[in-house]
Amino acid sequence: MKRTALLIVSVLAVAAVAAATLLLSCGARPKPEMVTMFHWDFEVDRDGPIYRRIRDRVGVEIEPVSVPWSEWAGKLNVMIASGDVPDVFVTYGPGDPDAFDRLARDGLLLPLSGYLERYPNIAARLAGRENQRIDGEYYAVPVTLPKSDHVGMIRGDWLDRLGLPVPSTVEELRQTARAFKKELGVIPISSSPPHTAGFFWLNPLLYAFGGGWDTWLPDGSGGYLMCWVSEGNREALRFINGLYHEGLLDPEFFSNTDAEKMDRFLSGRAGIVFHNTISLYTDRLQAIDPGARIDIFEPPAGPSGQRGEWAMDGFFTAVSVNSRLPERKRDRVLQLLDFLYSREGLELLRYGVEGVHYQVREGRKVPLLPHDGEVYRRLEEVDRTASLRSFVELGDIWSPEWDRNHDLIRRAVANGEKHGRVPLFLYDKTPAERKHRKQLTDLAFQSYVTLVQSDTFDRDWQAFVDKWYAYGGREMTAERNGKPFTR
Amino acid sequence: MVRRAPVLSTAVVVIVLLLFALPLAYMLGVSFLQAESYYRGELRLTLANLARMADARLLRAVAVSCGMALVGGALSVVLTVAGAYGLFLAGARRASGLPPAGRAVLAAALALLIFHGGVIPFYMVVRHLGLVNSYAALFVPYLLQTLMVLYCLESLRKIPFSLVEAARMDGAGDLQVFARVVLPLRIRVFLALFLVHFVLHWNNWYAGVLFIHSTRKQPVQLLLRNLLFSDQGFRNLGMSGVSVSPPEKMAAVLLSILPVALAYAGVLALSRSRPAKPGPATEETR
Repeated sequence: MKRTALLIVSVLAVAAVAAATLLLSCGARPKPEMVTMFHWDFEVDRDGPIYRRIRDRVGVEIEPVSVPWSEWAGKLNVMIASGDVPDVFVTYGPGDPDAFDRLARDGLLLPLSGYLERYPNIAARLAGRENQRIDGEYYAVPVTLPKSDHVGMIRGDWLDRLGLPVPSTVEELRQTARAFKKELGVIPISSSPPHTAGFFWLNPLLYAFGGGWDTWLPDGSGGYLMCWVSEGNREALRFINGLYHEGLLDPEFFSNTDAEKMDRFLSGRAGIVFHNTISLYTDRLQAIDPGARIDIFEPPAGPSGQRGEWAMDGFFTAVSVNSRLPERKRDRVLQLLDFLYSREGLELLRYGVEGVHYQVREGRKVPLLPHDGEVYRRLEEVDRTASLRSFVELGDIWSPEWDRNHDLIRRAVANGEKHGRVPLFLYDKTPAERKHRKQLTDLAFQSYVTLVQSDTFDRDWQAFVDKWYAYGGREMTAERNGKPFTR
Repeated sequence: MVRRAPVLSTAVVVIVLLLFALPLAYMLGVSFLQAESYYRGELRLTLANLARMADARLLRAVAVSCGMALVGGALSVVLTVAGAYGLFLAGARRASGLPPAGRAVLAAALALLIFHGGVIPFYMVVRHLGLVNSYAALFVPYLLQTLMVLYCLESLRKIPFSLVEAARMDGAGDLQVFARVVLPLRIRVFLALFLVHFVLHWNNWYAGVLFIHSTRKQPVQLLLRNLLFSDQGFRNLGMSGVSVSPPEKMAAVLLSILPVALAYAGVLALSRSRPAKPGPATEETR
């Protein structure tokens, strides 16, 4: 009896030791690292297939720090100032040199150069971007964007009805607007200020006359002058002033919101706008009036054949890594980014998981996403983890082949590549520019609104130019040209 | 004899009422318009906007806001009344008013009305309390409003202190005095305080921006703000851009104001019910 009891106890003891060993060995397996990632309108779906794929490939858990678009920069500033810096976060990067320099010099951003050999996909993203380094060091990986996806949109069905071609010059644009007004009784051209009194979206008109948007321009004698006070901008404003006084330009162009501008276009109260959300316009217009059509047009050519539109340097934001992470976590974070920037990572975020979100038939990807007729839901609506794509690329730089706006978007991006003008000296701000440029830009926006409505254009233009130079423009221009500036 | 209301003042009141009612009427009307007919200028009514906007995300955000406004409102009233009652008793017990400690508390409270540490220290305090990205962060940092304590204190001071002293002589403690004398006399004031705090918490979208990291925990006011501004600026640079028509936006606003309307109706109904009289002294308190 005693022997039997001893045997049972021994077996139980061995089993207990075996179970404990097994448990310990499981516990010894490295736990996925928790990584906090900051971006606007960003969420993950922990039970979704995309998240599981990333976790399996990189061994990290992602904790989103999300905030609405309108508040993201403010919240990031508060978090950084409070010492609560996310592990990975977006900033405007080199696009906002003052803030970016400060963050880098304060030691908050991880210098990336030492890691580029180990992380080839991060290295590939930084190739050719030497001008974004600070003291020879990279501190952020750019989130790619089309050079420009701004595009002119016009009611194609109205053109058909009036027998007019798509306008290609500013004069044709004016004639078309006149025809729309006369025959259809609308105020044809609308605009809105996202942050700049309505001129931002009309910037192709400035370039058509040899002017520009928020950029230095060659002054013809080897130097540079700021676009706001250039002759090109003056002539463009004179043209816009004419549109305004003829009743061809929405009189509320400087106070409309983008939504109000879209409302005017969709409700048939305007027929010409410049914007970059083509999908929104076409989808909504199709629902309202299946017979309506949007045609897109290139930036119109000016009297001397010049065309152009404001463009970015292929990025809008940039991703940085918190420099104060422990080494092990730092490696995991860089592994995660390297994966997201890889071909496999990008395909995962664009198309989802094969067999779940799409399948391949005859070498082509076919969507398995929910759809209403021919309109498929966006991947990030089906699996929120796809919103991680905003750490890699933004906007309409890419759209799936099954998107009914695919061709329009491609044409708009090609348009931007062809006509986009990246501002000169984008990363190179002189001390006077850092001191005066924002104030002088605000002065230009305010004065331009008055100039468009002015009955005494030449006198008001001269007053504006004098004021602009007096308020710091003279110092800024002299410093840019490296010589005293007299005017 | 019924006194006739002067025509002019009645007209002014009606005009002011209309000014407040018109935006609501517009919102109500537009929220039932078919999105396409809104753009075409036609009058076609539908419930589809409400159905589309009442999705899981909006309902969850409404639930979050209801929770923060109800719990926050109730706790705010408790703290506000407790603070005011303490100051009331401390002041009433002495002929010369508040004792030095009470004055110090009141001075500190008044100073906070004018001076504020700013957003960053505020965030640091909440973070060190471990509240960031928790539901509690939506209302705990905003529970006590100094001005409300002062309003409440002024209301309590209007109670004849002889009533309190009489209850004391019957053996009642501070809590019993509160429950049997102060509460019945000031229940409408406390209900109004609840309503004010409810609305303050309900409208507090900034707490969601500052302290909440997850979109799943966002209150409805923040969601609405995002929705109303969704077509602004660079919205397409985000990945969440889905076009929302004005009727759909109005439908979302309508859905989100229903709880506040219910709260108003509830408080109004409660305050119209006859207030209880101060309870008679019981055997225990004699």
